[in-house]
Amino acid sequence: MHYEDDNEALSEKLNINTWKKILKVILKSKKPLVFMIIAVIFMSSIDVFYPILNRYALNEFFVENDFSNKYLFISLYAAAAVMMGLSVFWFIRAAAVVEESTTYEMRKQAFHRLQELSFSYFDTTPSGWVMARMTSDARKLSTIISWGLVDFLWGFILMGGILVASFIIDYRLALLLLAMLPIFMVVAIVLNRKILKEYREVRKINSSITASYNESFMGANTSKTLVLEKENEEEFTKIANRMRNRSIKAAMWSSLIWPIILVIGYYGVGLVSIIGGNLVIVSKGIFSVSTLYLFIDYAIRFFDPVIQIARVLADFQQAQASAERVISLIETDPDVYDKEEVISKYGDLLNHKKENWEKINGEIEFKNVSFKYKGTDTYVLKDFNLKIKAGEMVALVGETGSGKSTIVNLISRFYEPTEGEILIDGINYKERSISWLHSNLGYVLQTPQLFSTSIEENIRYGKLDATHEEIEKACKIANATNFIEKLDKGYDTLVGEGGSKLSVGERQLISFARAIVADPAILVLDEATSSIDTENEKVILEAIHTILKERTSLVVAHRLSTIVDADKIIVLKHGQIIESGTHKELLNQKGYYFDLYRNQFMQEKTQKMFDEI
Amino acid sequence: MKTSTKGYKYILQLSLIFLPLILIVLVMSYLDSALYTEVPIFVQFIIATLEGSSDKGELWGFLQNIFLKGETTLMVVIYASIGLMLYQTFRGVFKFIMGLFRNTLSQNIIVKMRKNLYKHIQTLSYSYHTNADLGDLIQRCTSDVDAVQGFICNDIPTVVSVFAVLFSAIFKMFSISPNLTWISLIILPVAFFSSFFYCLYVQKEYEKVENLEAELMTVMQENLSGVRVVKAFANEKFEIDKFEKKNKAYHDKSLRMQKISAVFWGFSDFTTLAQMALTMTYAVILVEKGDMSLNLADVITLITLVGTYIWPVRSLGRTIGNMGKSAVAAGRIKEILDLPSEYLDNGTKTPIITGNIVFDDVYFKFDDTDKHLLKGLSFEAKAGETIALIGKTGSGKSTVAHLLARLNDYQGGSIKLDGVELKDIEKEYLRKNVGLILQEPFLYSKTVYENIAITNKTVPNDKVYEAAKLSAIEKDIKGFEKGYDTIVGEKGATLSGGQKQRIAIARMVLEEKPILIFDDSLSALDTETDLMIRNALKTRNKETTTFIITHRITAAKTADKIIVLDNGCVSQMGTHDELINSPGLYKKLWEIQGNLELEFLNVLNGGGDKDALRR
Ligand SMILES: Nc1ncnc2c1ncn2[C@@H]1O[C@H](COP(=O)(O)OP(=O)(O)O)[C@@H](O)[C@H]1O
Ligand SMILES: Nc1ncnc2c1ncn2[C@@H]1O[C@H](COP(=O)(O)OP(=O)(O)O)[C@@H](O)[C@H]1O
Ligand SMILES: [Mg+2]
Ligand SMILES: [Mg+2]
Repeated sequence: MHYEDDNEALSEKLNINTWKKILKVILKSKKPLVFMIIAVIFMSSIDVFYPILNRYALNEFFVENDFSNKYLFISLYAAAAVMMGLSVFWFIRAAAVVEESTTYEMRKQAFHRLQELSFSYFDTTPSGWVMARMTSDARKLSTIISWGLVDFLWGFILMGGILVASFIIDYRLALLLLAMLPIFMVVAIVLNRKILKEYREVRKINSSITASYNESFMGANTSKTLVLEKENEEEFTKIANRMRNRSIKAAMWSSLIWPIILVIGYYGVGLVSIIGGNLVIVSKGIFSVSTLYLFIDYAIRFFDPVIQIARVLADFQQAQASAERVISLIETDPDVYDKEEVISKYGDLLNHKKENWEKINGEIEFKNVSFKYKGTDTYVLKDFNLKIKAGEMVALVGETGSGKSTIVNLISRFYEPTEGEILIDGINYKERSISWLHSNLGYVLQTPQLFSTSIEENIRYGKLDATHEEIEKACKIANATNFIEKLDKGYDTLVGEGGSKLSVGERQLISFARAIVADPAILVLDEATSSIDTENEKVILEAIHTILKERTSLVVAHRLSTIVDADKIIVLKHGQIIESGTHKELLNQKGYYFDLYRNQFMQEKTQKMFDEI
Repeated sequence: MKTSTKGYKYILQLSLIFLPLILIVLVMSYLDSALYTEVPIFVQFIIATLEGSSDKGELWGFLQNIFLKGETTLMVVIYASIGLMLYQTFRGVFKFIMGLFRNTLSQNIIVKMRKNLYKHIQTLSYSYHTNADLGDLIQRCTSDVDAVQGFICNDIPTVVSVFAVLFSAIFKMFSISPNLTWISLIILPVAFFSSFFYCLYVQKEYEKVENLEAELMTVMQENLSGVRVVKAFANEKFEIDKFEKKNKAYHDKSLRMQKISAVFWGFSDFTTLAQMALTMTYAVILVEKGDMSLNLADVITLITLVGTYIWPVRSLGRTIGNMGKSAVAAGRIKEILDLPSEYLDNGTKTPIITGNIVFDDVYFKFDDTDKHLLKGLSFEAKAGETIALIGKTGSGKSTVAHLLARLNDYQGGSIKLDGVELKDIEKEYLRKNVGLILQEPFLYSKTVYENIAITNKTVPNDKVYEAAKLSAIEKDIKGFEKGYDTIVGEKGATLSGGQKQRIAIARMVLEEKPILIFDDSLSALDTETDLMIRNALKTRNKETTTFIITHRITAAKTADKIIVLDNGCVSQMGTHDELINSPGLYKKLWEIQGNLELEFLNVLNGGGDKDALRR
């Protein structure tokens, strides 16, 4: 919700480049576009034409009392009605096609690009921002483009049509109409801008109100213990009142636009009546009363299209900001990507050339790796060296921020070293494709990420062509079988959005099964056990024990029990290895690991054993 | 009661509060629309004058008299035209004023609802907030509020003005020609019913489209939050295919709905013009038959009047559909407001609190469970004592702490604070005296300084710094780039668990309190810091009664009294030395700890059994 604020960064200047790119997207639906334009032309022509028909009828039947053309008139009128219905039908239909396919296409392209983007993008871009681009921006843009175009065309043709028809019938009154045009335009454009600006302010305050609610609900219980209800309420009242005053002020402008246009418009109508009335009297019937009526009718109709055009112009200006953001998303370049040669040999993200993929052993080496996150100045790792043999289990220990996750993410090639290189099986991993590495990688995170489908499909995510038997086997290894089989629908149980229908521990078991079914050569566990309740802890620890066998594994863990078995424990501080060795060796060093063990691991262990009595 | 029935009731209640303003808006809406139908009558007068007909139409008599003061036809036309201009100017001003009233009304209603909701939700019980669905609450406070506002400020005035236009237009048409009026009304039922049924259809379809879009967004959202998983398993193509399917489904459904809209609007515009044609044709027939009462001005006016009501009637269907939805929204708001506030059940006493606490046979259960969590809990704490609460996870330690601050209420037995029953003490007063630091404290998105000074914004700087020092967080704060001005909380800097805990402690100890409760709030700190903080607090005020909930023997050891909770009762109570010498949970905990130490030494000495650690 907060990301709507961005919408307000309104670019004043016309950005031709952006519109060209948007145009390319729209032009994918050429046929409906042409249909739409034709239908709109028809519709506005009828709007211009049938007052003329009225005038003819009025003059012929009610003034001259000549009824000979009665049937012709009736059929023309009926035809106009049918044509009107048809053209409205066609233009809505066509505009809808343009709108929907533009949304579809933009979303498709953006999503495609998102799959290629690397982690640095997602680190700096909140998912809310991306969601806002793909939902509200994409929708807004296509709505404004399709319907805005319709309104603009309709307004433009109707306006032009009325002027042309007027000039043909009587240039004097036509000049009067023409003179009104700039007045309307200026008023409408100025007011529209003002209104837009006001509403931007209001929306900003609006999102701060939502934020207040959010904070108030999340901190409700803390506020109770601190007895802050009154203060919070006062603070909220202030924001809410500010919002009200601002909104009333903003609304004042929008209540102004319509009355002003109305008044100006009817001054035009009044002038038409006076000048036209004079013409009727002076010309003694050559300029007929029904012609005067036609002009009155035109004058009344004239301001609607002008307002529409002014509104569409304002909308387009707003849409440009949306367009720029959507385009910027579609055109972002990924930081981590495969070189041309690599792609031609191993295939890209979407088409893997598996036949050329080498078998992986799982040996990993950091060679003088330095790394800093994009947009920051400080190196998280500096001249880092580490060698992990195939099949070895390495545990990373250290305080929050010491660089544990950074190391495993570098190995996973979610980032690439700023300097130095990472070798897998002795070869710089940039020489192979990203998909090659990822297909051989298993990854389990602190917070298990599930998709809202069935348990079975979630596990199959690790290996898309896995059979049911393979899945069952993986579950057995992960110790997940017990709880799955207790569920009514077993493997077909839907896990809910983000896995919400399962406990965190159960979700983690599934994510283990998912990693197992992939049967990776390299397995990464980043604090995979830290969000697990005591109930599930035991089964999960057993599972971990099993799956770490026979593969290269990197474990970042808070729990002692996962660490003691490691072939090598690496203690990190500020991106440096300060201690390394086996559990025993490290305890004997009586250094950092020793302290950690006493302070944290003992406490953890105590509680666990105590709970189990 | 159905949500929408509840909603209508709530809307009524709300409307009564703003009755004067609502009446003004409604009357103005009626007048505005009625005045609108007068415009064609001016034109009628002008045309009739130019025609030279003696019947000048339905314009108000006094205006006719004024305009007819013009000496020539032209002067009359000029007068009438100026009259029209002035009339519209008046209407413009009228409309503007109406807009102001309407906006004021709408904003007042919004603010009223927002404040009520905010205030009320804050006072809902601890249990409610523990289980609340945040997204749903936010929706009720924002979009539901807007919907209710729309009902009162847009929908009802729209209905009023549609009928106003309709009645005054028909009234005028009747006085021109009853026959033509009847013919001109044919479209009414057609327009009304077609728009009504169309709106019903669209609403139903729209829901489906929205569901499809929600599914699409779920795929997107899960792809974004699970980006690591997607990449780690090289499933980019799979994701694209999944997205494509949903994207297409949404596209198809949405397009289908719009195409049906196209049929409706096409039909609708056709009927509008057809009605005009019909009216015109019938007028021609009447004149041909020799109906002399119908002149040019009359026909023009009739056609224009038909035009004035067709549009509003077409929108009526949508308005009515909206109103149904808004009623449901109102019902959802009412549901929240009907939940009882925790302050309905409040004490009145404000005794001097020194910190003597007596639990006597206390029973407690949660509303949504049958079994009692606490079954006859009794213990005593004297002012100035430090009490350690020990127990397995889920044994009810936090619950005891919550009872003391009356975040939850006991059902049986009694808790006395300095001789006064807890339920008789005013809640706010009690909580100001009982410093409870929650197991999972929340930091506000403000600066560190503001967070510490949150209970007293005007406190001198020194006291804030002192509180930070007492809580052993001062060094950390100075290490932050912006020091005390670092923004924390949701959108702020990421703090470690221990830092959060210590800031929560600092804000609670800003002012001295007779009772302090640390609910596992020192768990992320090492033993030394834990002790340091508590010693510092003890030095500041010896009279503070302190509860520590912990599973750390080294911390419990220092307490004056250790209370072991088991099965909802006190299973053991005493000092460290007493408890380790009698069989029970505490002794077991002590032994576990001792064994671990032993094992630890073993490992150090080269022996040891790795598997024992994994048990
Ligand atoms: N996406 C990022 N952008 C910038 N800095 C980051 C990012 N992720 C981590 N860091 C910084 O890098 C350092 C190492 O972080 P990390 O590897 O996550 O540590 P650990 O996993 O040991 O807690 C920290 O100082 C952290 O603030
Ligand atoms: N709102 C609630 N409704 C029902 N049960 C609850 C609620 N809150 C906590 N519980 C349960 O009550 C028990 C005691 O919780 P708690 O007092 O937090 O224990 P402790 O702090 O000793 O770990 C736990 O089993 C918990 O699941
Ligand atoms: Mg980490
Ligand atoms: Mg607890």
